[in-house]
Amino acid sequence: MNLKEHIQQHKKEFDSEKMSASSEILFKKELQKELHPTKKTKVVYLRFVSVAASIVLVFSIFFFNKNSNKVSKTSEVLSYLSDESAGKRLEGVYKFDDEFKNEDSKIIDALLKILHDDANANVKIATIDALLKFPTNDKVRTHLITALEKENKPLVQIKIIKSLSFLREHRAQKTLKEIINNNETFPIVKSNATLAMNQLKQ
Amino acid sequence: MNQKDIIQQCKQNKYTAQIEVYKLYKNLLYNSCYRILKNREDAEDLVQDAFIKGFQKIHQVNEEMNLGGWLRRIAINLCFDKIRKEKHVFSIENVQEIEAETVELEFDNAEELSIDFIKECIDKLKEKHRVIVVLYLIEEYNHREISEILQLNESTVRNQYARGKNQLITMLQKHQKNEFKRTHTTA
Repeated sequence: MNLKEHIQQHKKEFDSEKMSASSEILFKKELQKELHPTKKTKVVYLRFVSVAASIVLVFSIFFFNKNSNKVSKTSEVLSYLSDESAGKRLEGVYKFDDEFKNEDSKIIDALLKILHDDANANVKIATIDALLKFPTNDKVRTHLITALEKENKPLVQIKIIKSLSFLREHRAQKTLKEIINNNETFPIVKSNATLAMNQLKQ
Repeated sequence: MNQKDIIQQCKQNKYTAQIEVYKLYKNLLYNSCYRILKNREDAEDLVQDAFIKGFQKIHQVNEEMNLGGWLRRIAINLCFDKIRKEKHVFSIENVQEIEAETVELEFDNAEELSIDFIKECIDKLKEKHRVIVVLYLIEEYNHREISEILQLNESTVRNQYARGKNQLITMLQKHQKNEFKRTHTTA
C-alpha cells in the first residue's frame, strides 16, 4: 500500500484534534453579532416603545388635566346656577355662555330648570340666550315650548316667542295660538306672538 | 434534522440550524486549519470566520452538495489567505528554486507505519512543503486545485509536492531502518 492510500484509509486518525470548549461560546457571540443582530433591533424597538409610551403619557397627562379642568369648570358653573342669589345665577349663566363651546348635559339640565322655575326674569332671559347656542338640541327646543305654555312674565314670554320664531319651531304654533286667544295676555306679547305665528306659517 | 432541512433552514438564517451545522463540522474544519497553520488559536479563529462566511454564502449551496466539504474548502482558503498575507511563504521568489523537475519517491509498505509517526514526520517538513503535502495527501486536493489555491503554476506545485513527499519518505525510511536494526539487535 502506498503512502496516500494508507493515509486515506486512516483519515479519521488525522482528525483527532478538538476545538477548545470556549470556542463555541465565542462563535455564538460572533454569529449573533454578524447574522442575528437581534439585540440591536430589540434595543431600537424598546427605545421606540419607550418614546411612544412617553408620548402617550404626556398626552394622557395633558388630556387628564384638560378633562379635570373641564370637570372643575362644570362644577363651578353648576354651583353658580344653583346659588340662592340671582346675581350669582346670572353670573353662572354668563360664565357658561362665555366659556363653554360644547354642550354639557348637566349644565343644560340646570339651565332648563332655571327656564322653568327661576323667579328672576333677567336670569331666565340670559338663560334663553345661553340655550340658543344649541339650536339643534331637541330637548332645548321642546323645553322652550313647554316653558312658553307656563310662562306669565311678559318679558320672558316675548323672549321665548322670538326664540321659537328664530328656531322655526313649528310645534310652537299651538301654544302661540293659545297666547293670542288668551284675554289676559299683554297686548305686546300678543303682537309678538301673532308676528311669530305668521313667520312660522310662511 | 437531515442535511436537506439543515441547508434549507440555514438559507432562512435560522440560528439553531447554524449552531447545529457548527457543532457537526467544527472539528473537521479545525483539524484542516490546524494541519495547515500549526497554531491552535489561529486555527480556531479561522474556523469561526469560515462558518460565518459560509452562512453568508449559503445560497450558493444546493441540497445535494457535501456541506461539510464545502465549509472545509472555505476554511482552507481562509488559511491560505492568512499565510499569503502574513508569511509570504508562497511568493514567486520563494518557490523559484524548485522549478527544476523533481523525481517523486514512493513508499510501498506504508501500512507498516503508525499514523502518529507519519503525522510527526509531516510536521517536521518545511512549511512550504508541509502545506502542499497536507493538501495532497490528507485533504485530497489535486495539483491543479492546489495551484489555484496557492496561486502558483501547476508544475511548480508538482515539484514542491515531490520535494516535500521525498523528504517525508526519507524520514519514514530512516525510521523504518532504525526500527529494523533495533528489532534485530534485540533478537
